[in-house]
Amino acid sequence: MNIVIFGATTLGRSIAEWLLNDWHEVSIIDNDALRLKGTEDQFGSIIIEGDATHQATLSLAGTSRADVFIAASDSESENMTSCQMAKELFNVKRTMCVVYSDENISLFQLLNIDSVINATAASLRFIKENLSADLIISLMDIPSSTPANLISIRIHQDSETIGKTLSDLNFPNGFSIKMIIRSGTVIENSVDKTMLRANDQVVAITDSINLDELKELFQ
Amino acid sequence: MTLKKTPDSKTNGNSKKAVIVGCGNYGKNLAIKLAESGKQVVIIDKNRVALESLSELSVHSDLIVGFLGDATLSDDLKEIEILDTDLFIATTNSDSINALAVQKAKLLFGVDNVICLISDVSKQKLYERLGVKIVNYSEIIIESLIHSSLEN
Repeated sequence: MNIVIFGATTLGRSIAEWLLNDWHEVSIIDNDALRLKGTEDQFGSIIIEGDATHQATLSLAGTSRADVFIAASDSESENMTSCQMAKELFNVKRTMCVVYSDENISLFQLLNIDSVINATAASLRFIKENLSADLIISLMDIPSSTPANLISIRIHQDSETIGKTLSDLNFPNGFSIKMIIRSGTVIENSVDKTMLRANDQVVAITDSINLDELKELFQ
Repeated sequence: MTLKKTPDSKTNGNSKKAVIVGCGNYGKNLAIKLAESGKQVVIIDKNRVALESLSELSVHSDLIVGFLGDATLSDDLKEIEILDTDLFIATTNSDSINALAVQKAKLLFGVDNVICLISDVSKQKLYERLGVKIVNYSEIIIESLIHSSLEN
């Protein structure tokens, strides 16, 4: 595919890198000479210097041939304008606009920008997932008369449980271990007597009320 | 943050007010022109110093009010009672900020008349198609230059 990116920001450059590795044709527009220099050193001559909200610059970047236009600069208003121009003046099929708050999402969708991506919300979600992945992830709610949860507990490398067997630990009521996943292999037999190692993944069924207690136990 | 109290709406009948984005020379002079025809005007700007220059206005200071805020933020637009507005003119020196503010005013708050100042001609067609009136800044300057050179 042919992709034009506006913004040689860290974000814009990461997108470019990912697309180039996938053999797409990429141009990246920015008006900051320093940022462009870094981009050129990294990727070669894919850079266009200029104002991405001007038709001439977009033209130079080959926007009329682009399948996708991605606006990833720091300025939400410029991202909006460049996406509108790519869509309306260059007939780009798919326009994507990065925003940093919820403020403009609904307006940009009204303006026919195809995807509006909230960078702050996306990274926050990622951080949250990673924080909880260190301890407990709920895999599935099990519907029954007493609600239960299939959970996965990753043993952190600093966990006090390392070197102990599961039967050494004082589990709350309503907690039952099903298996341990260790570097890709499943341990199902005599789980209770297996000594825990860092990065083990313990899969268990529990009633959800005990989640906080479990977090403490596996710290 | 309101710098001056909003004038009593009774002084102005029940007609709606105008909002001008950007308290530069262009915005200020436009505000004076509108006030001359009896229109109540709110000028919104992010720059406190620019707004303070309003206190030096010798004419129509009763109809022109400054507001410190960002016209691209819905909260600030609500605070200047955007729903009570029938004319919205964006005059900052950034085409994109102007375009964002007017499209928000028109599409999210339903302001009837929105006018967007731009310096780059290539955006004109785009925004006109979207129902935004465009005033091309460079065209105006060139026209007035030609005009004044003819006068001399």
